[in-house]
Amino acid sequence: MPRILDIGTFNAVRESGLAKLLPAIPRIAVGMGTCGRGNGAEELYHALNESIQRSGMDVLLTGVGCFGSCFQEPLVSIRLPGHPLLVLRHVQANDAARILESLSTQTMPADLVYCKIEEWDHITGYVRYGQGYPDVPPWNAIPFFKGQKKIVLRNCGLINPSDIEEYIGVGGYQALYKVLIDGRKESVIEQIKASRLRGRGGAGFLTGNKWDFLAKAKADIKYIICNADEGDPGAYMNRNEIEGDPHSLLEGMIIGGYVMGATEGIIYVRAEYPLAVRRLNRAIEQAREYGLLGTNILDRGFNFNIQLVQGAGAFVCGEETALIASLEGFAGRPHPRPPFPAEKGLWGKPTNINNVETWCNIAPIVSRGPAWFAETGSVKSPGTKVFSLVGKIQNTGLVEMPLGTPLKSFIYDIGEGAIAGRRVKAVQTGGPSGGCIPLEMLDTPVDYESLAQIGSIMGSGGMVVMDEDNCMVDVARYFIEFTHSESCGKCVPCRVGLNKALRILNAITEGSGSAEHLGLLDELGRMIRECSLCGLGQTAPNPVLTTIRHFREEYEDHIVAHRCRAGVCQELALSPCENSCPLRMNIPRFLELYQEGRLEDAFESVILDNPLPASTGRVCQHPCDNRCRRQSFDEVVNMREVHRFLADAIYQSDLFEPMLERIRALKLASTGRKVAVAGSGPTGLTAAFYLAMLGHDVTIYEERGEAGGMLRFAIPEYRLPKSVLRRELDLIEGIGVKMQFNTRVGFDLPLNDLASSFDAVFLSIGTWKESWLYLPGTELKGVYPALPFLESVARHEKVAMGSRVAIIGGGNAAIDSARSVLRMGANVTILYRRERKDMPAIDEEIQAAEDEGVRFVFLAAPHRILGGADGNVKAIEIVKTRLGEYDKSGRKRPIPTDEVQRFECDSVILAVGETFDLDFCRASGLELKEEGTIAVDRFSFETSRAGFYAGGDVITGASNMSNAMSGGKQAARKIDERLMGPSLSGDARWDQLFPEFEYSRQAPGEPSLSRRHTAHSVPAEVRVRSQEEVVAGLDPEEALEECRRCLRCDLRAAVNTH
Amino acid sequence: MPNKTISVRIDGELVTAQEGQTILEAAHAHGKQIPTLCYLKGLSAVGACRVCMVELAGTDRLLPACTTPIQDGMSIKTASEKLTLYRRMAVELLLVERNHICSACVSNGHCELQSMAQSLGITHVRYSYNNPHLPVDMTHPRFVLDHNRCILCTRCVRVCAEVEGANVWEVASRGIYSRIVSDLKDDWGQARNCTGCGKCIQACPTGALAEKGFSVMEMVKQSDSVSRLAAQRTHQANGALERFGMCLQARPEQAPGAAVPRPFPRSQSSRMCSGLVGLHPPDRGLSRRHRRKLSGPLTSRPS
Ligand code: SF4
Ligand code: SF4
Ligand code: FES
Repeated sequence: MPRILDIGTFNAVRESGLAKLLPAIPRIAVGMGTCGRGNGAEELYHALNESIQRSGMDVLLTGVGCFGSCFQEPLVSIRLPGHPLLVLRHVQANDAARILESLSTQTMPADLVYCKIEEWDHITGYVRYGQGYPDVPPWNAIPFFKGQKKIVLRNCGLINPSDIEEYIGVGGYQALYKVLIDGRKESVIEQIKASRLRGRGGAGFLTGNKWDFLAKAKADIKYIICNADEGDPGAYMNRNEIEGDPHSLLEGMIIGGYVMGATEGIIYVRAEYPLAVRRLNRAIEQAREYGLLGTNILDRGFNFNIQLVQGAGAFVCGEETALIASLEGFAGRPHPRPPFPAEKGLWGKPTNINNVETWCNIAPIVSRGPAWFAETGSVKSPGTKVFSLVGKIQNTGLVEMPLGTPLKSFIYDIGEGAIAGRRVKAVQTGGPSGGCIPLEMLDTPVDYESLAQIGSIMGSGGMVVMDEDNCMVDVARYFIEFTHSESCGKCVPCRVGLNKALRILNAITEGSGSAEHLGLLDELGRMIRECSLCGLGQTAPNPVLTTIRHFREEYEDHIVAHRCRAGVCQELALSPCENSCPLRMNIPRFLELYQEGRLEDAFESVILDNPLPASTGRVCQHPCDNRCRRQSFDEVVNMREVHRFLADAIYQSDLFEPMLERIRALKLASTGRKVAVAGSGPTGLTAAFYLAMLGHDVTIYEERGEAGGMLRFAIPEYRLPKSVLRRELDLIEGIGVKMQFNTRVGFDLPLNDLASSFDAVFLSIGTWKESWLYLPGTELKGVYPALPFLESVARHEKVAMGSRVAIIGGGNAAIDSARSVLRMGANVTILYRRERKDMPAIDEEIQAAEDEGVRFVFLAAPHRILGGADGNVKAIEIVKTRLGEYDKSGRKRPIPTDEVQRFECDSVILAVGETFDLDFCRASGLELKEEGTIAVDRFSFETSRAGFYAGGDVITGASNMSNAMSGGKQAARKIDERLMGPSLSGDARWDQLFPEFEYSRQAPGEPSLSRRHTAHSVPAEVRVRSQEEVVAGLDPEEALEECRRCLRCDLRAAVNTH
Repeated sequence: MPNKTISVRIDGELVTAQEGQTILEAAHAHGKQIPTLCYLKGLSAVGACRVCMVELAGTDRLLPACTTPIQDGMSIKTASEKLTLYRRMAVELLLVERNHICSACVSNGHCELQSMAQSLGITHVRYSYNNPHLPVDMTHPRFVLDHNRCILCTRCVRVCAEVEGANVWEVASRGIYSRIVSDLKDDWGQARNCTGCGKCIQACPTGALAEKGFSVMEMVKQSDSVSRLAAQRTHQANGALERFGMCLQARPEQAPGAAVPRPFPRSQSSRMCSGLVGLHPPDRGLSRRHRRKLSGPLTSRPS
């Protein structure tokens, strides 16, 4: 082994290292970090090795560290002499033979090719691999890498970490050489200071200043320590940095040792990182052999040793004073600072502690200078930082980004957004003691100050992305559980405070939280933050404090309504489907009841949860589907079709009358209270049903001549036949709800009159006013707003449409209008400004419309409507849009381009959104919100006027049927509570409504293996010519089989208690 | 080496302090009271209880007075609404953490935790009680350790290590599961190092460490004597070492000659014979009679 003594030997080693990187034979390098190994890199390596042996080819096979894109592991890079480095992804052992073959044919397996690297800036050196492969994207054109700047990870994934010569080959140890030859220690410290490099372990203290302290400290022995005790769940940057490039760390430390006058270096690394430990040991050994470590380094008379110490895995040992205590053999408990380690550290001697990443930045700064370093990043936080991007996101892995990059670049550019069909809700930065940053704040630049300002921290660089399936209260609870179990217990705020916080959070997630809890938690969090002894305690409350700040509503939902929207808190949900149903139908129960052959019981269970089961069975957005656990097995259970089937089975048979009797019998005794309901849409009908069941005298006032609201006048016949709706109304009237038609509340019937004759008034008026789009040409004849159009169709009124119709919008109203127009015999084109996947309409409906022949033009925003001399619509012009940045809805914002297209048409339907006509509210003293909805208390549904309640679209804005009904259901319960006061008998009146059902509580030994049964659609060619219902429900056999597919998630609780 | 005199403000008042003094020492030197629980004069300060937090004017940072060295020009606020709230919370947290049932405690009426709660005006706690099931170690012939009353201030640990030099006590486990243990988690009765000097008993602010044979309200402690002794020993040791040109490395950087205020003034004068503290030979297994004699008249009661 050559011991490097002078520039001559140094250069010789460098040459030999470079020759290994750019050999004259093919070089295959397998990503052998922990992430690669976890995905089968080891088997792959052996397979490649074998194939090479077998083929007898002359190939250099080697292992490298992680290249960062962990979601593509195992990665293999291949270089043929003179060609670029080609990176392959998702390579498995059985691909080995293929790859070897391709070496000779020079055509790489296309399915494996990821990107190419033609040249690489190793910062300390430059490597040119070669030109070629025009079809393969260069690495920095891949979204995951675009914008990344690799300083710390400069060598990771490219060089063999176990071979010092390759490190030297890309310019490694040159910075050390330079420093030792120059011998000007102060100037190096000045350089580090000028670079304004900040500690990458979390606190962000200026490294140069820290170095200065130690350099100036007078002592016989000084120590420098590398903190590699990375303990955050979900964070692994230090591990990969060490595994991929251990010499970069060593070089930084040796330089630090020299300029600060230390002779001993210690690397404190987690014992849980066996591979990192192995690579480090090997690196230390090699550095010694080459004369870069030990005595008389590079023949410059400088002695420096590095020792590896394995920590036992206590999170608190990341705190420097605890780390020192641990090194000294004591329990890892922090000490108060001052004294700072720079005065009194390990064994009472001056000590400098820096994080792995900080050390890895040293050689680049020394070799390229502080000005170069400060070019990257922000003014106060120059340079880059490595983050581990994990969670509910497409691309996960290690990313190195300039500091000050806005958070949303991480999520949407590098990470490419949420996983399919979901929306990002928040990002948690800084590990377990970081804060949760809501979507609205994703513009925040990621640097020390900005993150601190919004209550989070940089920490060591963890970044966990969360979507709607994450409950923020549970997230806070999880992290507090972690810090609580890692607290050393020395100081009171952290030891007991976190324990109390955890207990409160447990109570909230279990549904036994109280109103005071939120205040206590907040106060506790502040106290722990301000009073704890060390960083662990001082930052531990961040997850709680930030979630309370940004997601207070979720806490309130848990506490007041015992509701966990995300369905994470098990105690608050019966089953995932029940939790996601806006009406919270007990789905497993009716599935089981029908399976037991008890049709009537099943229907009773359904109707008590959902008073319009046949209508919802046809038009509900079925959010229950998204959560059904069966999807991880094959396909979700078709719950909506089953309750539609149950309702149809009763409504369309002679079982109806007896059923009505049965439900009537469940009514509570008459209370003598009178309640008025304004509006007979889904919300009003639902509220009226429950209020009547609770024994109140209910009258619905309806503006139109028939009941049903949108169900009657907006949803076309072919989706929801009027005869079906009629039966539902019969049932509601049958239990005693009175209806008064052609009465418009607020006009025909002033609110004051209602107030004097009723004990409570519930307002549930729909969003009948179409938002008007102000385009040139909307005044032309033949431009129709969607809702009035649909209403005319429902009334069988004649609307002159012509033969070509353009529809603007992407919601259900647009699709309904389109399909109705088709049935009138015209051609339809839907113009939508985003893409199909962004359309808010129900997916099946879009599909059905497509099948029936509706044309779709996406990325098209209306520009103007052109008319002829007769004042009739002639054509519409649209501007093509392109998708820009993500907006707050998590969809990409459409941005108009210059391209204008023209569509000839005879009429235009505008379906761009609905609002209300609420002028009467203002006049009668009802407070409105800025958005124009009625202001109510979120939980009691009370408006600003006593005795008046509101629910449904009128408080939420236009929504969908089941959400609207849920508003009516909850409001009915609250109105009853207010009217009747707290129940004296113990059993809440509401609970008395729901009889106990006896049914099997046994999990199915073997759930049915059959596939999902879907309803049968009439063939598209047939159905477009008729107004008949297009989707026929399940038949009894299919319904039964569908019920058998249920996995009975509701039994989980029972299982757990055994 | 004479310490430099520096000027600081405490609650607005301009006063002088010695370099190397902690905020607490400087405040005490000027008759300012800052509540403390884990601090015991003469022992190293650990900053565990956090009731001594003070405000540093001009910043929104709180500093523990017992461990923070005072610096020239500092302006310290020892009382504010926020400080009272946080001090109260710290004591509240201690009260709910274990089982502090004063009416059944030997130290009732003479307990620092109790008097701290009183002086902070704590009439009830807002958090639920943890009610842990904790053992009582009765294995020592003369003393008892009741974990239910322990607030983990580690005064016993420090007095045993720093003054008696016996190193019997340590804290085992971590977080909410932390416990005071003797030797390697043995029964106290088995602790080979224990000299039976009783300093830990006197240093303990609550009824966690007590002498056997006392009933409710009877255990009156003399922590100030321990602390005087400790201070004296550090001083002497430093004096002795200085003669060899060294200085004791022990953590408490006491300002020699600083006044000795009593953190918790007591009406009773010391009842501890000097023999019991420190200078006494190992006295494990002393007879009850002997012990009672040593404890003096205050403890006499019907046997
Ligand atoms: S904050 Fe927590 S970890 Fe830190 S010293 Fe206090 S108890 Fe120990
Ligand atoms: S036993 Fe007493 S002195 Fe020891 S830690 Fe517990 S409360 Fe403090
Ligand atoms: S007295 Fe200062 S922290 Fe306990």
